[in-house]
Amino acid sequence: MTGARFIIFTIITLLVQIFIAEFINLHQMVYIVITPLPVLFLPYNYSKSLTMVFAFIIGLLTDLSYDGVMGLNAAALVAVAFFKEPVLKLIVSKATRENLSEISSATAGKGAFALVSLALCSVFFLFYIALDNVLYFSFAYTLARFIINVLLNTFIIMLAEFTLFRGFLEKR
Amino acid sequence: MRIPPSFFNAAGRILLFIALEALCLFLIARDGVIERFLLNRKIEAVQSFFWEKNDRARKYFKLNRLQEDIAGQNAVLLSENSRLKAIIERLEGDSLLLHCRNINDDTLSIFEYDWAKVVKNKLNSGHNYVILNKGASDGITEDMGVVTAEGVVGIIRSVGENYSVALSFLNPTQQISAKLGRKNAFGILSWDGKSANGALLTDIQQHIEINNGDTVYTSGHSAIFPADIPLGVVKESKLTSGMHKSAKVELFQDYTLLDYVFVVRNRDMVEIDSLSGLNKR
Repeated sequence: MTGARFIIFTIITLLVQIFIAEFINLHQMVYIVITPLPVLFLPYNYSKSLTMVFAFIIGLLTDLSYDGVMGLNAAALVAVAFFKEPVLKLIVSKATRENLSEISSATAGKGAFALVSLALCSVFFLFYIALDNVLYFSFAYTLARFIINVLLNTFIIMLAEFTLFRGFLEKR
Repeated sequence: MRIPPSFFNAAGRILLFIALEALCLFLIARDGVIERFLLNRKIEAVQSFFWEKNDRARKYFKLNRLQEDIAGQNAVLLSENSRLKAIIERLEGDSLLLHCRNINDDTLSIFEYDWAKVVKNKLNSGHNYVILNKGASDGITEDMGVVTAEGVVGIIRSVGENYSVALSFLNPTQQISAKLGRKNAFGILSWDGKSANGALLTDIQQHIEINNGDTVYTSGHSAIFPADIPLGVVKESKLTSGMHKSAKVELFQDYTLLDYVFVVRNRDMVEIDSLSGLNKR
């Protein structure tokens, strides 16, 4: 994906995220999030520090653009950026990683991509829910919220990658 | 021993990660919701304008007008009810006043009501709020209570010219002074943080008997909310820490259906605030 195409993709993702946050409220426990997608699709060989700064900016823009606690999405996305490399090292083989321009089901394989998505969604919601629930911790409620959000959002990322964004990403 | 450059790279990344997370925590700790309300008041006023237009477009015009009329009449009735309650309390306290006081004196009630329409109702996070279509030009000020006939909605935290933002009761920082049934057993009611209709009544003295089905009301020990607004019913109670009792409360108010609300103005708020200030000194 070229730089310009990636910027357009990031802006579209942010706009869709704002729309989802403003108009799609499935349940109080559920938070649909697609902002990890630009962080996930950043090329594997891209500077890890810049990836974190990029994630921080995307997170802050998300927090600013709709109504949430300032810093909540930013903290969770920075964590996704930080753990992206260790997760990829665990799931994707070294030979495949070395040839990765960007992470997708086409380059890493559907199974590996699903696992990466699941792991990064887990990281996102581990930070997001821990910080959001800090004032009224309830183990059962927090665990249920975590599991529901991780599974739902992994499904959404997979769906988005396979359908909506696949054509966009593959065009060069 | 020579330290490989990759070690410094990894250490740098970890330090950057910690620094960015610390910055996020700082932002969160500042309670970003309120801070941002104050900073983005102008932006939200514009947003509210469009939300209201959108809402109006979806409703049949005459029906909307009728609802506003009913809400206005309800506000008048609530003010009248509050005034009459105050008269009864005073007459019970000193029967001599019966002959001395003009019972139509509108100044007897310290609370008066104005109606407002909810133009945005944020419900899907741990930090919820509502935006009302009335602001400073309608006499709305910060720290006014927002109620309905079915309970407490929240407290006004930020006021623009034509719109205001109320921090919803569905917030971990919101606590209401409440009482249990007619027993005058006082406690603190706060959101349970889980469901939109769940709350916890805490700090009830352990000798007080709590029964499932008991109604919880506002206590009146607050300059923001009048007494005796029904809030919910007790579903379950237990002894906590061996000192006090607490109860799970099912709220009457369905926060997903908020439409018209009443903003409560305490006429004596300035005097109460000045006395509180005097006490602190």
